[in-house]
Amino acid sequence: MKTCMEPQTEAVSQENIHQRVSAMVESMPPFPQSVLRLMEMTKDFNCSPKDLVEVIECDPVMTMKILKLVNSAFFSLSRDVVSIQHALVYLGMNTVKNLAISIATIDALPHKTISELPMEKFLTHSLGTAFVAQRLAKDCLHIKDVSDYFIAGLLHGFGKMVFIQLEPASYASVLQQTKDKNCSLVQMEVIHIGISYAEVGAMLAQSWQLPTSLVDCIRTHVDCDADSSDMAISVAAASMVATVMQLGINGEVVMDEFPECIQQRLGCDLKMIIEQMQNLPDEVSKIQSMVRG
Amino acid sequence: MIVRFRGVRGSIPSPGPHTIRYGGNTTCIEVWTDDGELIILDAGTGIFPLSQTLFDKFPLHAHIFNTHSHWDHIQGLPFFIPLFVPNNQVSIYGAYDPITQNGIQEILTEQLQYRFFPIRECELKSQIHYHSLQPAEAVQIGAATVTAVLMNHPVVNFGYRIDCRGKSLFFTGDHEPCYNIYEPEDDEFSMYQTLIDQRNRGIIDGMHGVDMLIADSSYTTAEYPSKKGWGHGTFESCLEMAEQAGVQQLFHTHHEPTRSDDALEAIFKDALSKRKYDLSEVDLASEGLTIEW
Ligand SMILES: [Zn+2]
Ligand SMILES: [Zn+2]
Repeated sequence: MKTCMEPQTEAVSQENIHQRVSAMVESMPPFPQSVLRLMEMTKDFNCSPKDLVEVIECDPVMTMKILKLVNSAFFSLSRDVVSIQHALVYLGMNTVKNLAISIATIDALPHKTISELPMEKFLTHSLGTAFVAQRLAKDCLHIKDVSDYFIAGLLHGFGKMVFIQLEPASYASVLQQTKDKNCSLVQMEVIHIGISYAEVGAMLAQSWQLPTSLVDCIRTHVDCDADSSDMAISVAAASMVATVMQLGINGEVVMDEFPECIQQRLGCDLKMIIEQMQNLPDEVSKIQSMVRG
Repeated sequence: MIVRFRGVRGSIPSPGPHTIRYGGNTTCIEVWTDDGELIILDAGTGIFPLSQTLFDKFPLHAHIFNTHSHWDHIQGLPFFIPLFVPNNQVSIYGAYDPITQNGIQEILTEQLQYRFFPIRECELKSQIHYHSLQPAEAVQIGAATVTAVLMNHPVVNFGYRIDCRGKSLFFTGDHEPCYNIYEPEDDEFSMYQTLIDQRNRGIIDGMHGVDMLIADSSYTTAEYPSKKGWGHGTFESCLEMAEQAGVQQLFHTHHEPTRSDDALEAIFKDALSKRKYDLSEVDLASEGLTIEW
């Protein structure tokens, strides 16, 4: 069987990658701690909707799958559903709860994991990025409804999870080389795999009919310029902040400053943001322990 | 348009001396449009007495719109006599279920499992057509348009609006107005409120200006706090909805199975005395009650 990790002797068929990735993600399990917490919580018929949202929205797999279902052709609502709260308002607490339970209990493959990017550390980075993206949107860009910034931060690196599940050994070597050569992860992925995690994540989000703003953000946050959306800028900056603060691992090299376009848009530099984010590790560990119950 | 209530009880059939005036059958509403089409809203046990009156209309084409798949709204379906008679046509419309990922046809298939019912689906002699509807989807039946409106209940529930030659009605099915899951001091409160306001506005728009609103008024305001999240409305919430939507006439339905006729009249009287809105025509739905206009 052909894999997308073969060297570039043949052009990699985008169509082929797409199909394989989609099929693989269907069987991707949510994180064990969110499943445990969810099952525990939902034993109580009257469990708190707030807690439910919090558990679901800390798990990228569960979030992506619920948004997919809600936005799918079978159940197209008149407007894009961009957050778990959104899904709750449209489908009601019980439907979302039962969707989450059915996702939690599907007969899924166990997570593959590699030491270069352990799933737990990756989750921490995703959560950290989600928090920071939301804060930046609120504080620097004065955006009112920032719930979709949280989701965008949480899902920005989903493509990496896909690579780890699909080809753990080859992706481990891509990550190792990125580290050794101190170069861009996206460039390494394109050279060795033929496609970047940003592209794979966006492709999935698109085929699952997630909102265009989210798809664009996942695709373009790795290559921001002056025309980038506020969401892409916030997520790119947030991911860098989480990386510098060593909150989890994302496999990318540490930058000492934001690119010019990000600095301009946010109106501040990396150091200033990090100073403001000193409580971030606490917040992230608080939410992680809440998810663990 | 002729509307006749065939079942006005919620949850479970409740025959007996205490429910003789309002009736014990579960939800079913018979509607005849001005051009003679038969539209049936829900197939609770009230559909059986209705089906007894249809023999002289054979062969007929009945259109059954199911609000949602709870027992009290489907219980009578296998006893809808026209299903068994050749040359009849029965069209069944309802929601796709995002949790089991089943369409409307699964309901009858499940009900007619041989262990539960002596006649199998393939032995039904009429022609049955199934239509899984999307929110906001409209269906043309003769001169009438029936539009599905997504309401709020533990499972996906469609309210249906029927418009025919300038006359109109709306039936909510089971519905609880959406409420905020956050406390006013929570960060997410105002964001969630915005979503809810949008959602409630969509529901009100769906029933706007109808001649007749038939609405789930299971509880009193005093009973509601212990039933919050169960997916049903109150007398007060229905009066408010009727006021906001500018409807002509309101019928309260889905009476609690344990509520005696006397108790029902007493709480209705009480609700009317406390109402803040001046709606001239408000009444309790009762089995056999027929309104023609
Ligand atoms: Zn009901
Ligand atoms: Zn119900």
